[in-house]
Amino acid sequence: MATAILDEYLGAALQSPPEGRVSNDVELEIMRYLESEFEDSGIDRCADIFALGYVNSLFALELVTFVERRFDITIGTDDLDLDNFRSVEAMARLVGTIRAAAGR
Amino acid sequence: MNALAQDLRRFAEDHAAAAGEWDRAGALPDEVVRAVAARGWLGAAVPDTHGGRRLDPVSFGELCAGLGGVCSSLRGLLTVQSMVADVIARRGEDHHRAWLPDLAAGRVIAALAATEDGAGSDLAAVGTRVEPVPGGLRISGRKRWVTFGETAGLYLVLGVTPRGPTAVLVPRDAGGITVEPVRGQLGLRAAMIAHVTFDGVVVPAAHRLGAAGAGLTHVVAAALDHGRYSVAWGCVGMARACLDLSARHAVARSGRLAQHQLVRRLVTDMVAGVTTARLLCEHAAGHPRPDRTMLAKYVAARTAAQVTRDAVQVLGAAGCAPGHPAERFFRDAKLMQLIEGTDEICQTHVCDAEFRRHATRGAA
Ligand SMILES: Cc1cc2nc3c(=O)[nH]c(=O)nc-3n(C[C@H](O)[C@H](O)[C@H](O)COP(=O)(O)OP(=O)(O)OC[C@H]3O[C@@H](n4cnc5c(N)ncnc54)[C@H](O)[C@@H]3O)c2cc1C
Repeated sequence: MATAILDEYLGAALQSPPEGRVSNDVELEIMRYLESEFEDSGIDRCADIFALGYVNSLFALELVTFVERRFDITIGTDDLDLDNFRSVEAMARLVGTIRAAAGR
Repeated sequence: MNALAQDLRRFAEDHAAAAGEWDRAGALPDEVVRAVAARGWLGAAVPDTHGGRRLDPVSFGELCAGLGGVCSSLRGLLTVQSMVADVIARRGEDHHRAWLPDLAAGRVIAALAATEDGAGSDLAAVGTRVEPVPGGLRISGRKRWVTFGETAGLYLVLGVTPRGPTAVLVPRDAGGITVEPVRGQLGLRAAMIAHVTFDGVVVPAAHRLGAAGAGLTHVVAAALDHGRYSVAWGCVGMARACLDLSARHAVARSGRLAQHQLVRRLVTDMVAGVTTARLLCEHAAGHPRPDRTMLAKYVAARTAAQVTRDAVQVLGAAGCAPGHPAERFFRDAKLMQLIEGTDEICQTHVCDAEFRRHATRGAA
């Protein structure tokens, strides 16, 4: 019981830093953004963010806006698919694909 | 004063006095549309490479506030034109050359056709069908309350496919489109509002702007986000105009009214409201996130509704006179709490964004 309370109290501090949980810089950027959005430092790179609490259609749009601005890319019509924004890993993969197609 | 502010002031001097007449007649005269177009304002969301004069977010906001302080229907024209142009610029590369120069020059007016009898706040419930047919896509359904639907040459239509909602560009001359003008509604009376029926209208398949399923969440939602930003600033403009009318009235006649504490309180709260709404709009300009835009629109619309109401109070009978700007702004302001996301929809989203920051850790 005491440990559970302590765990919750220290929640953030006990989690590993995002650097240890992502596989590249793009994932790291996205992870940092989501962690500040959710004030949660325990998000898994493969976790379905649409299954986290209080995520709505407007948040889906926010993610598109963030990814396009942060990585200076334009997401094509066919890539505007919720599944491409479902997790840190999925968003980073989308950024990688678009960058590769643009030769960057 | 910068060049835009000067242009807006001159435009207001030339046109504001006639806005009551546009409202009464239920139509925005062509020459006013041409005057706005001639200043390049209808191209405010069109990139310069496509004949527009794209404004930075704050300047665009000032433009919306400036026109909003003249006439909300006119600001509505800027809003719909810019939201459709912005979506085409961002999501419709194949359509840049066909539409952006004409939209920028005001040769074509654009409109958003999303709302239906059975789908307002809940746009996921739209029933307008978009089906593949030989030669393209066939669109069938009835849209309601389309701002500038009467004069539009291009509609951005929200429809549904078996795989989910989608957004399609439909030119007016596609054939099979019936337009029923709406007149005499509470406000935005000069906004050429119409119900628009699409009866098996066929357009090329390339006119689809969002992948099926993403048409609502990423295309129409982005258009509405743009529109919300524009409405928020428009509300600041109309509230500012009503504050000016009230203060001028209070200090007139040797300041008889200005001496009353209760009148001073009304005016003080107007100053507080207008300043707060403007700051939130400026904040939204610097933080382009849909929930910040929604917060700005929510506060600005409520402020406009309150300030215009209090303006009628301070002005007394003068503000109720036919054609007086205060009574028109009062009617128009109420609608700002409905369009581009009702107050309640804004509350839902702003609150979600707040709860999000507190929910996951507790649940883990
Ligand atoms: C002047 C004017 C211009 C317009 N221009 C356009 C246009 O250009 N294009 C277009 O497509 N549409 C347009 N509209 C339509 C407008 O977008 C809708 O009226 C608006 O979205 C609300 O939908 P509704 O009228 O169906 O009301 P409803 O969605 O039925 O809402 C009725 C009430 O229920 C509340 N409510 C609904 N859902 C919820 C919920 N989930 N939680 C809490 N409360 C809820 C609402 O807040 C509201 O108070 C226009 C409307 C007006 C009046």
